Amino acid sequence: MGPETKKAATAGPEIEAVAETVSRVRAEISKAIVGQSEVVEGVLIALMAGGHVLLEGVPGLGKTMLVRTLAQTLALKYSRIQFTPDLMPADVIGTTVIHENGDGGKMLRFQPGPLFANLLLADEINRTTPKTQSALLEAMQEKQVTVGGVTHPLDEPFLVIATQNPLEMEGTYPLPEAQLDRFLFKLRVPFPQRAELNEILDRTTQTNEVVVHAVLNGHEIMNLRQIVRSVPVAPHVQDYVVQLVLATHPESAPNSAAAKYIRYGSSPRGAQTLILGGKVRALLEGRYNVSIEDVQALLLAALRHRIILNFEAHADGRTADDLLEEIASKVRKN
Amino acid sequence: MLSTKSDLRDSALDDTIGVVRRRVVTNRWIGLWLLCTNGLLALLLVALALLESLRTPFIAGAVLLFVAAIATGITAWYTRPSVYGLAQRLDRASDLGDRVSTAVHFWSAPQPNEIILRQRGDALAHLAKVQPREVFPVHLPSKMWRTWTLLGVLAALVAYHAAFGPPIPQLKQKAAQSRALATLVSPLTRALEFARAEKKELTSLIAGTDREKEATEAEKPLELPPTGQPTDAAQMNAKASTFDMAQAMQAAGENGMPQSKSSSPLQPGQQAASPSSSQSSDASANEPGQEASAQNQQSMAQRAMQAIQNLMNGALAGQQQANSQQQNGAQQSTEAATGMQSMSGAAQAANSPNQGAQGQTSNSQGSQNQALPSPGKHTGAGNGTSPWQPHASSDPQLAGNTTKEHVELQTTGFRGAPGKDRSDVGAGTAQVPMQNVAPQTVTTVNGAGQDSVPPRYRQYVQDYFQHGEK
Repeated sequence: MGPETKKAATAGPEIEAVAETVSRVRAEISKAIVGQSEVVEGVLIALMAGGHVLLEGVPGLGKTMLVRTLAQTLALKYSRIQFTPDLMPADVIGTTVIHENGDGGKMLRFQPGPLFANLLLADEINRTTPKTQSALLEAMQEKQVTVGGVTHPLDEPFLVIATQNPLEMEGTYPLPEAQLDRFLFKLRVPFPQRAELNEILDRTTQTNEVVVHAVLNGHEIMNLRQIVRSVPVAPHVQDYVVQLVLATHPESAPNSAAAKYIRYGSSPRGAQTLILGGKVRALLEGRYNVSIEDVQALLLAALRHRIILNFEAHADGRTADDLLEEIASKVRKN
Repeated sequence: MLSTKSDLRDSALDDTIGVVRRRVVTNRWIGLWLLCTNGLLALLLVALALLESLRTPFIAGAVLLFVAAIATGITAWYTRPSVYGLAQRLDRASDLGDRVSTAVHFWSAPQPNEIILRQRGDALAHLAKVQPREVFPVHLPSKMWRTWTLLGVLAALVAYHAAFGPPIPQLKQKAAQSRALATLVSPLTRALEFARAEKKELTSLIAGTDREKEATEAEKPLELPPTGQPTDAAQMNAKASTFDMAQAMQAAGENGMPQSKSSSPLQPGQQAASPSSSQSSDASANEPGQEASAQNQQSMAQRAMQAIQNLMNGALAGQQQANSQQQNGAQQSTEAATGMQSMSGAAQAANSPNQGAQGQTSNSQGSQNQALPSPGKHTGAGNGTSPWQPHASSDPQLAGNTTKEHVELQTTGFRGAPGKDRSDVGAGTAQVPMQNVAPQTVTTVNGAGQDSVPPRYRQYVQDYFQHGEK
């Protein structure tokens, strides 16, 4: 029995348990969160793919509660930062303070900020200044922070779930493109349906208290991430992803909608997101390979914040979502 | 990427892909062969339309059809999709989520890991549920109706060929016959055109002649030229017709027949257009002194139109008969006049409706020309020599319904003092108020006087500050 066979044998039960584990997480989250199945699935896919999520929705839709429930379900260290205009970068990543030891000597010691957690809720991230927003850049991409010339690695898994309000733009600072690109998905939190709203009222206006159990830990999450990366992708599926990303660039097709309404197309991170997210979704669907349907299902969440529209698009009322759907309808699936 | 059969190790996958391959190749072969068949059928139609023989085109077509079947079969086999392409088709047709194509692609991996082995097993498990013969049936192409149409046309052409022979040579023969017929007809056509031109010229000549002079000539006894005198055939026909009509109408008046009745089949338009003419006609029956002048006035237009008809006939006859008929022109005109005299006015109108209709039209035009001023007299408007008079002024019934067609403009003193209205114009003339318009001062509040900003840009800025988002 070779090493590959050993590895396959050890990974066997875990592969079978992926879909079951994720379904248990979903069940626990659904105890506290009513509806929002697409948002929950998107957050779980981002968690297993190792990416961050930007949630966009009006206040009161349960964004913060979703993240808190997810942290309880995953038994992860959870912290929350309420972003305000006067928030400083040191308030996020931490600072160096003078520490007095037992001998009476004094030394500088790094006091970690709320960023040092497994699950970080950056609430209303667009209310803080770009200086503080950019403090998250290194942490989100490199999973480490550098303070005073010293680099401090963050604990794995590290997941940032940021929220922003699409209505109130007064006194906000829209996220720069570089930071938007670091989010794996941008998920829109819809308003609940009638039945869901009734269910929310039943749960939140009565005396019964919801208890959420932890069904997954950080170590298992890291194992799941390894399994996800081993899911095979057929060449024509990968080529379809490449075609999609290239089609978002205006120079790719001069007469297309992309050329008319898009100023800048998606970065290569968009293609990586589609493949990685497709792998997770395939496992959640009980499949061991990525299909074109997986890519299409994640197209909007993965690329809507990675394309920059021009003035014509704003003037004509075109959104990134309908442009992406139009692009996807014209890309050949081989 | 796998492309050969030996790379597949699993018999189920191999069998399924093999079935799909055969079905795809067969369908492709059928499509190509039917395409060639359509071309051959078109060629066969052309051959049957041209050739006398039926056997030769059919034998050649059958041979070509057989050769095309072999060639398209070879082409379809050598252009068959790869195993990976077949797997993709199977995935799409069976909604397998790219399982088979992924399994085929990773089948030849040297050391497959656990998830690849699981993926392969998953693909085979789903493949077992697929019936490739149902998913990929052998079917005729969707454009098979072209072949059926061509076959239908071919059957009809074969039936026609068996009954009448090849159609194209027959069409050629008919075309040659039609050309010969056109060669024969063309002189007649030219002669008819010549007669029409003569008629037009004569009509304009008659319209320009003085009316009183014509009345005087009508009262004179007709003098037939002596027989054998060389005269123009057209003039002879015109005079003969004039004599004929005068004699006929005089005879009708002497027999006590009302003139209006005898002329009613010929001249309904005349009676309707000029009631005074019919009144004079009725009065002529009671007053013999006025009868001659009324008949003369009424028969003038008839004589003119009859002269036109005779002139046309004479011109045609003159074209067909050359110099010999010119020498006997007087005799022919006498014979024509004699023939015309034998017919009364009513019988003439009944037996020759074309001439009657033409006479009617001519008479009505003549009456209109008498009632209304001639357009030629007023077409010189603008030269300033004679003032233009509207048509309505001559017709009292229409005068009340018309409006002024021009207004005199008084151009003197057109430019008045600035800021003052022009008030020194006479009553009934056009008044054009002239006043200088100075730009009005506009009070501008902050942000209010920006109408020149494009609406789309304003909307964009408004949306940006209200609902700005990435």
